[in-house]
Amino acid sequence: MGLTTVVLIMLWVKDELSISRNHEKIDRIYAVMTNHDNSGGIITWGVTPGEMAEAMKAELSQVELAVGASPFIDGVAFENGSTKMTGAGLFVDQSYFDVFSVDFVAGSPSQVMTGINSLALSETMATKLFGSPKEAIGKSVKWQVFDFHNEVEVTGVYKDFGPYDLDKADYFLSFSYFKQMLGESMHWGNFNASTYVLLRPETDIASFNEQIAGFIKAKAEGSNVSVFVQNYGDTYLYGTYEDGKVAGGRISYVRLFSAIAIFILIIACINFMNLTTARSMSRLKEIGVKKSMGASRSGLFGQFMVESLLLTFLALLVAIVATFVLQPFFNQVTSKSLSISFQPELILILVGIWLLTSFLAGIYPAVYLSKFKPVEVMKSNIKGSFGELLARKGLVVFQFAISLLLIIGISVISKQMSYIQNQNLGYNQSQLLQINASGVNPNQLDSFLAELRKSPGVENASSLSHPLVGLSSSTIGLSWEGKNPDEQVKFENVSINMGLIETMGFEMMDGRAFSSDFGDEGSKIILNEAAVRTIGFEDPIGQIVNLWGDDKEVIGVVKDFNFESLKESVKPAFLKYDPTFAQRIMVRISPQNQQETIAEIDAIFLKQTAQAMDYSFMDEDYQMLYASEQRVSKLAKYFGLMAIFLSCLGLFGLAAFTAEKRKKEIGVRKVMGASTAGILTLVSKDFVKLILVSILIAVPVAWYFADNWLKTYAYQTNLSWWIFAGSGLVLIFIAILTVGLQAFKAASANPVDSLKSE
Amino acid sequence: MNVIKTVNLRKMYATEEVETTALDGIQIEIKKGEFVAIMGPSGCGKSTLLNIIGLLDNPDGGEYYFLDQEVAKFSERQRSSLRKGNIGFVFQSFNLIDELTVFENVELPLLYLKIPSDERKQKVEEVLGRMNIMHRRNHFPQQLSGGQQQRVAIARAIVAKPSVILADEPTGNLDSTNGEEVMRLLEELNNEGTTIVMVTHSPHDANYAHRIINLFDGKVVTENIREQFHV
Repeated sequence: MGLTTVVLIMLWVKDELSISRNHEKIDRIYAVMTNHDNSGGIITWGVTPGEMAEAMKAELSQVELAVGASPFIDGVAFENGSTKMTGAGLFVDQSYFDVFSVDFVAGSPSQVMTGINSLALSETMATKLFGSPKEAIGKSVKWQVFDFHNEVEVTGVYKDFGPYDLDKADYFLSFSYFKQMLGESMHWGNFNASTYVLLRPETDIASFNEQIAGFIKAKAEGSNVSVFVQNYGDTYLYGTYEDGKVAGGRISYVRLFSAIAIFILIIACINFMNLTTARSMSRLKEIGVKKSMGASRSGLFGQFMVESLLLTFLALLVAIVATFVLQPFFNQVTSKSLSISFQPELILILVGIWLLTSFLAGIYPAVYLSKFKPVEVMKSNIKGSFGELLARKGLVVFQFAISLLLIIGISVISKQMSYIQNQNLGYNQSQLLQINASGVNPNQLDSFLAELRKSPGVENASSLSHPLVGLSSSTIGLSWEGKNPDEQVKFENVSINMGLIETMGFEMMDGRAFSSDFGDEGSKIILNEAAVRTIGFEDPIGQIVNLWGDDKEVIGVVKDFNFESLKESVKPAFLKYDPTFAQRIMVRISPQNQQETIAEIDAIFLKQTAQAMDYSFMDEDYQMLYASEQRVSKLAKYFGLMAIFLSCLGLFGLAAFTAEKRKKEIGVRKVMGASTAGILTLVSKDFVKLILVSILIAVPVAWYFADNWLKTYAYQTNLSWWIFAGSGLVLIFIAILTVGLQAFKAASANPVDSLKSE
Repeated sequence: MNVIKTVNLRKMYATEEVETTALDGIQIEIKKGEFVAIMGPSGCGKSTLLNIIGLLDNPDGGEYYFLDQEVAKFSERQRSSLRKGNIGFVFQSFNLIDELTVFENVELPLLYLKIPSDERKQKVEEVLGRMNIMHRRNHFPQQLSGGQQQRVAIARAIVAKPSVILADEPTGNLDSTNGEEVMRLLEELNNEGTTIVMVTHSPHDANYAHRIINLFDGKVVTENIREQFHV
């Protein structure tokens, strides 16, 4: 069982380690990162100005190839006659295919993105649009996103991306076209593209990073942005940055689970050792007879090691079978598609685990058992030495300290998760539908919204420029009287339609929301509380700010709402009125007859756009922000339970062994008048002491780790004492239950049996 | 006054295949202040009888009066509370607790009688002095000779001043010198008024008793009363 867990964890870790690494030139592929030095500290982004790739290729000798790419763009609608599909993908340079390994089934990678009107599709997309990849080549397709649209030719079809790819693109369009889309906003002060470089072999990364640090500052005067590169393969696992430096990321989960795997393996080995040595008492005769017949110590040692090897091998076989059985379940929990396949690499690892486990589990019993002197053994008056007892107790303390660590960890994660989910986000998430508006013709948006509002189950509807969850459109283009001209302050911003504030349920702290009763609202702006604090307005209503050169009047202040994971605190943001860029439509529906309401909205959407509606519930979207935490917490729960269970098995064994050893003592005490309860206390007392020691060890360690983890959240639950007390009590309870059973058996046995003369 | 009286006492042992009758209608009476030896070949039911008399085990049938109280159907808890304080045990294999010192071993029955610490100390010291092992009070059983260990066991048996001492082959694991000494101690205790019931193989030891009960196949076959003893 221990081994099963270990094999499962190992699969997971191996999978995590392979993500975004299966490119042939992965060692030389680097993502260009930018550090933005703001008043609030340095923020690191994976975005660069649009010209970055070209400029780097031209100016830096170490750069063999440079790729410019758009951010991942979702909701692009493709149309081949009457067949319509939406997809998510990238706008890339031709060189993308020279740098990254993309597997083409039709068309050649070197010819795919030669023109501005080229398109490459995934096998699935091509098959859905044209019937087969071969059919697709050379055909023309219309695509549309926001109010951009174009007609392009399919020049290549590639195999769908696998589980190890980070950006699972359904399409590739031309980066040249993306630059046209950016238009005037493409300059060195705007960050709206990704850049990847293929560095020449033997490039020294440290000195290269030093050389490019000021790359953007040299192009844009007064810029506070510095540049560095990070290996593309590392971006997945090391995706957290602090102070402009890589500060871990998912790698911490990989480390966490590796540690758990090792702990579980150790716990299982400890059990094996404990039980073997404990059982050895009954094998003493065998050892004695063998020794007196002339078996050497090394011979006996060998015998025990071989036994350990065989037993562990059997366990491993069982573990592999169990892994197969548990796989679908495990995949569901991890949302991965892991499978055991007997590649040489995996077999090597399994053999490694086998040998290591056998060695760990077998060495102590083998040494211990083979060293007995035959005479002592035959007289069977071996007394466990003090050191041996200490070692055995130490092992139990260790096991339980780890179990407790896991219990506390799981409790803290759960508490933080429920804290986050019960936080007031500043708006009402329930019954809030978010519809992808990419298919909606901007000219017909208003009539579409009007029709939605008429629908009986709809309480309100409006649109906004981009999804609110994970909002990431920031600008430094807002200024106001008295602003320090050298300081660049970033504001999150979103363009909204009339009625959005009401639809979302944002609370107005001051002033009013946008409304058609006041004529032209384009020159008005609404700030959130954080923005008011940042700017320093005492009476914000009626103040004038300047956005991208235009004066805007502040008409309202909206209560801070959380648009990001609660790992972040609410950032300054403003809302402006601009219905033209509508990526998302928000619909508040009444709680009754939800299914019918959604069906009705779908019908309206279909009528307007001739597409099926792509929608989600806002509360579900928000949950997605914590998907990885929730998965980790779920996994940790299972693994933690496993560790606790294994520890209890160990304790059970030890208790049985102790009860057996103390059988005579218990008998004598009973004859002297000890009650069953008294015996129970006597036997359990020692174990409770061990558990207390474990608690003393585990609590500070757990506190340290939990505190550090919580620090990654801007909104954190407090580390209440009762988590530690409760976890400790749970552990004591479980332990007493385990030991109690043995103790009870010993205590209720007839003392006569244990006192028979030897 | 009878300390021990049994009427038609029966005890069976059942294994999967056979049912063995260990005690088959035992009738005995033991009066206060008697020294009784129970003898018989191995498997005749001596130890079984001693266990029932010692309230360690219940009979399957018949009546058992301990201090004129019918106890045959007592629960383990009731037997236990009657046992402590009234019966002291001496075993062939001493049955001292290895992890406890001589002092602590002797103290054990008093502990379960909930006697206060000062009084315990005084009683233990008194009895250790009497058994002449005071100098060994802080030693562990493993550090003592067999004779010394049995003296500790006797000290433990008498420390609570029980009315009856049950001894199961008390000299079985001792050489003749130490065995002799143990027998003399028992005789001395008996002279002070303690009732003693002893199971033994040794005719020599049995000579210390006033009366010898011979068991065979779970039945009392003979009772010999030595002449010099008069109740």
